[in-house]
Amino acid sequence: MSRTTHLPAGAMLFAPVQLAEKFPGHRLVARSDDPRSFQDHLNGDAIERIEYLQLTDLDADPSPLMKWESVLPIDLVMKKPGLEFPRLYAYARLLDRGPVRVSIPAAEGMEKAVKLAASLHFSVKIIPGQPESDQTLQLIRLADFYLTNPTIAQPIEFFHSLFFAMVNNSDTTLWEILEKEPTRFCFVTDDGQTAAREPMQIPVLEIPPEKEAEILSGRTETIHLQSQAVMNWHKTCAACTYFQWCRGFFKYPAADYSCTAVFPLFEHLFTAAAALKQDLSASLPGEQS
Amino acid sequence: MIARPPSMFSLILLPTLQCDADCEYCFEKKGAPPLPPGQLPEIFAKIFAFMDERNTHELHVHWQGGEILTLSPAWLEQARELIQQTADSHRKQVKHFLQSNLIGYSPDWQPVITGMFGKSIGSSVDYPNRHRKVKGGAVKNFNTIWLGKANAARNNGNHLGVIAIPSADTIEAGGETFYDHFTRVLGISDFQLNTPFAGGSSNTVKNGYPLDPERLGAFFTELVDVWIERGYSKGVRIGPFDQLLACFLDEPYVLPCIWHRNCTDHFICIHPEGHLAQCDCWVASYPEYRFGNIFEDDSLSAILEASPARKRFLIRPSEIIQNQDCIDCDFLGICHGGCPIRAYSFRGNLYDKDPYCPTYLAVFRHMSKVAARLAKGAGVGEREATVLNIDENLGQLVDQVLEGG
Repeated sequence: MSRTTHLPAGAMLFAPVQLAEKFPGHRLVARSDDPRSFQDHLNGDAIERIEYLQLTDLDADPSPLMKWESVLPIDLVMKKPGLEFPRLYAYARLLDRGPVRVSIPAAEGMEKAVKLAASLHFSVKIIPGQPESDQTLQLIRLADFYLTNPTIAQPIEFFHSLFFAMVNNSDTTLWEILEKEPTRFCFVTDDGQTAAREPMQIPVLEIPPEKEAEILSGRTETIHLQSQAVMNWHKTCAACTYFQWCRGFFKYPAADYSCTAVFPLFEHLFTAAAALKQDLSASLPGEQS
Repeated sequence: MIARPPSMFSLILLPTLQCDADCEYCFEKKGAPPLPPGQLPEIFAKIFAFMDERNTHELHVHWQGGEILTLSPAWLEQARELIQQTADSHRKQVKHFLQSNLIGYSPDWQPVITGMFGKSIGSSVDYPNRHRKVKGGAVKNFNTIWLGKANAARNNGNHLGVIAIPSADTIEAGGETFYDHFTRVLGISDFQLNTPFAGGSSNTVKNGYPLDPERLGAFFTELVDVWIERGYSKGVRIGPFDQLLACFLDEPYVLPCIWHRNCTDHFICIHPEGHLAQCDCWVASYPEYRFGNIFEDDSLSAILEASPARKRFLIRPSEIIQNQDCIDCDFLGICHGGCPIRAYSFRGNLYDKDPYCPTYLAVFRHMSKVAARLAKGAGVGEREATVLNIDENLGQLVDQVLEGG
């Protein structure tokens, strides 16, 4: 069954670079598997609305991006980290031109890819999916690597923001940290269809012809995809210690995912955050016992 | 559109391979005639065009030899003018750096050293000296000659930075003796230690390389402790330890080239006859590893992109990360497998990691501990100190926590 997906007003769109001009009024993350295509397609109003670029093929030659005057931030999207991680050396020169992040899925080779990316001073975003227990162990090792290695200077998400949300007791959620919050981030497929981001696996829908002009012009105010519907968490979430930051994130796409696999990671970060909070409060003037 | 930040490229320029010293560990094959200054505009026009393609705006020219002071002051003055004219026409910034053994130093050089090099000279001296000598002279006399020239240069207001190459006898002497000699006897407050390697043609001295990596690491850490106790707070700088310390203290730092993520990203070397190679360690003594000749094509990019030798350098870090144990090292981010010439000269394999890995590891570990101790003791902040006491790196995160809280 399919539903019409309208674009939330003000949402940031993850769109193919060749479609960037079709979404006036929206902030954009423009993606391509060809480094040359960014310069070819982005100019005028579109380039002013770009938040960052996503390069989805790490086998591509990064030279065109080095030669381009623009210093728009770049997100290098890995698909197979175990195979792609040595390519990061070829992309490290991009760090001389501006900010570069590497997005790495929880898949074979994740640990090596994250370590190398962070060691090369890339920002990192780990896309955890619904990790199995062995992947959670890897994530815990990587969290320790991030928190304790003195040579790492750039953030490794989602650890970084989740850790500080725990330290500061703020309500920042994994949906926001990982750019999956459906009222703020929407996905445009390569053929121009719009949908909420992929982890929810809400069907990608045909835009009805009568709605297309309205949607593509950015005038649509209606949010058909209600965040409440997307975040309609599993019953067990209500009693979860980590609900404040998770909000059912790990229940998507498979609602029957057992969170016991990911709890050790939450516990690990929570313990580290609690230790830091305790040390900070103990050292604040006038607050020592 | 956000403006691109200024960026920099380095050229190691060897305008001559003639040298008035005859050091036993030298890796260079001498004999090429000096570069005619009239060729400089063509060379630099190609360098600047290459920089245009990379959106790079500042060039650092490291003048090395051979020995630069075997040329004449007039040669350098002419070179400076020609390079500046070319730079102006390409709207590039150029900074010059001088490396000299100082044997040829005289007051005649002072206008060039002042105008071109900002009264700053990089030189070299060892303790105890076992291998450095003036051509036709004796090892035992070198340091006396050098000190006389160094004092003359300093008396003319020049800053001296000195590179030292340790030997087995340096290790035997120990860190404290070495430190005392450099700071008190030679009066040097800015020096750097490099690890020796068997580059170029072999001889009995080079056959003794590498030095024992563990013993060298112990020497370095002892030297660091003496430096921290006696000189760190008084402005004495010892590289690369000072830069490592800055790194671990989360301050701005520049690590030596041996620990760059990839040499090819940042510099290139030109031989007096125009040959191109990764650095001075390669260009004169390893013709098979040259990237080409700058006079053979209008485009430096075209030469580099067509060079099989350069491709080997380009892929070296990614080969190392797949085939060595560097991915498991806590200090990958400041080492990347170390120096290609050290790997190649010892093991004949460019894709091997630097044989001084155990030395570096000892130094990295020691410097991270020293940094944690200094952060606490120097009153970086009670909060940081408390955190650093538990976990050295968490201190780097504290500012963000406090801002968020």
